[in-house]
Amino acid sequence: MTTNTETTSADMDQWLSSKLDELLPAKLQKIEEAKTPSMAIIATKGTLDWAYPPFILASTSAALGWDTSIFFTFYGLLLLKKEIPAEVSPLGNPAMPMKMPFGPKWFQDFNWPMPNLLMAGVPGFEKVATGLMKKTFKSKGVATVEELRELCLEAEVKMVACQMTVDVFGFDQSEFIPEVTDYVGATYFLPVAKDADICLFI
Amino acid sequence: MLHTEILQLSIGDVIPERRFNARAHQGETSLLGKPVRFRVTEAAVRALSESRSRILAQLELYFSCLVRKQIRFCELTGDAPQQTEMARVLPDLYVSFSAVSTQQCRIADVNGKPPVEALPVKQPGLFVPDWVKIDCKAGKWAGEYGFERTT
Repeated sequence: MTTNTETTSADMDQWLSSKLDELLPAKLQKIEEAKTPSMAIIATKGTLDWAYPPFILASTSAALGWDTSIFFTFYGLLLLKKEIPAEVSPLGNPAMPMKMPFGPKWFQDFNWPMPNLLMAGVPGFEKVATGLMKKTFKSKGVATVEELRELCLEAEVKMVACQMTVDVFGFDQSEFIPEVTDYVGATYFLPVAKDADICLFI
Repeated sequence: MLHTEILQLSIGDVIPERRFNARAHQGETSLLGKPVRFRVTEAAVRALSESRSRILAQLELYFSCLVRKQIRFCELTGDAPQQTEMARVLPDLYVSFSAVSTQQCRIADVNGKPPVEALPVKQPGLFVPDWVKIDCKAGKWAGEYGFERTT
């Protein structure tokens, strides 16, 4: 009697196992396809050149219908200011191209052989470099950082700010755009990052 | 049957404010459910009235390594457009919007027909711009569009 019961149970297990092997892959694939992808970005930099990546990636991700969140911390908080004060800095950035956005083609193609140390030391150079970068981007039709942020907001990208950095840097919440979803700490954002399909630190 | 023939691509053009005199057209039209402010220079209005064809300005938001705004001007021939995704700004001026992408990121591909493909945007209406400016100078169509904070 016991032997018969054990045999039946083993048969049942085998049947169940083979059935699962048969049905489970398709079921899991269906669940995976129905899932909305998600992306979590940690934005930590506030210069103009580093302001583009989080907003470009977030707006593209939101365009594809993904759930997208950006956690702004340290200098990245400046990207949430009502007026974005981002400038490009030549200091410690030897890769910065010195191409002119105006003039004849040979002038625009010319590589200005200016040492980084000199660029970084000239008073007002940051303003010039920022103006040149904005002009270059404008002439190529590239959306501004402000427009990219606007696109992200329209597409319901969640923007959260690090409350600790706000306090440490002496900012006030009234300095930031009202669309900031929340002022939180790392313990809030880490679970969001854990569950995201893509997590980027910028 | 509706046919489109590409006239030109407008990238990075800035329409100076002085081009919008008292006879320029100003109005608001709904595009994909979103109200969009349109400004068309007098020169463009005149070019439309003198032309025997209809013009379609395809607003394209080009997702690549950067996000670029471009307007593709096309000549419409054949039957009157019926597509709901097109908005009629003036009797012979239509506007459409799409988010596009490409496998290549070559910014030099601005003339002729860059190889773009439609991006499967879930809610394209969210990315429709807030304002559009259209001009026609020396027979060449140009335009720009942008976004503004709505809150």
